[in-house]
Amino acid sequence: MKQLLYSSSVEGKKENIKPVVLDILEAASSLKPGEDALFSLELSLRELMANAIEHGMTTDSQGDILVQLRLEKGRRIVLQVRDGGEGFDWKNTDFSCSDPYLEKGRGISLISSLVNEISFNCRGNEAKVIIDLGAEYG
Amino acid sequence: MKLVKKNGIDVLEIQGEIVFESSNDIKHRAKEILEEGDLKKVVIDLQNVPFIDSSGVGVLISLFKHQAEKEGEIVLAAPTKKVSRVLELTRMDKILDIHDTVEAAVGEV
Repeated sequence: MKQLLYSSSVEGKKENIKPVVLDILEAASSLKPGEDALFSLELSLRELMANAIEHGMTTDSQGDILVQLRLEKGRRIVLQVRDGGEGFDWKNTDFSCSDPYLEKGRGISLISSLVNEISFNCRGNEAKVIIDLGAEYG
Repeated sequence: MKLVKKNGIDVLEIQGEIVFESSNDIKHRAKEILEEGDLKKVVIDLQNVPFIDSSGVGVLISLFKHQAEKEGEIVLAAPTKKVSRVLELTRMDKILDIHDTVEAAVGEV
């Protein structure tokens, strides 16, 4: 069973990140998730929106970012972020960020260390993050 | 952002989130302050930074490398709970000197 908690399409601008973060956290709070789940959700959303703005808004593909949050199977929240860009070749991208001195490129690695699952669509312009709320929600 | 002296040590106080939206401005302003004062050892006071993302971590790495190039030093102090968590997840706690309080970072305790 899927329950849509939040859905919005916003222009791909930096100043639109915070309002979406606040709305999503408010929507998720209705589920009374733990502190860790909310932290994971906030950081994942910020990273994915930043990626969408930085990489998904090329000159030819200015546009909106679609953000959705759902509750699935009664115990896991699913965050989806999609931009209108050409996507990226995630199958051949190294997300390990093995060099800790790099100034960029650790966003997906950071999300992976927090959430139960992260995946991309074939085109690479949509990311899906799954955060399990725990057995008490099942 | 404000530079103060505590126990004879330069302390750079940062206020607000260090995230994608703000990270470039914070990085450039911090480097300006480091350059203007020709500062060597600098404590970055994070107690008023409620959140940091990977862009913010990049800012700290950039400042660390900037100081290392001129044989200076960056020390982090008083990270909030969420900031600490990000620093641990990105293994910054392994390469940066991090103290629980500003007092500890400036050697008062």
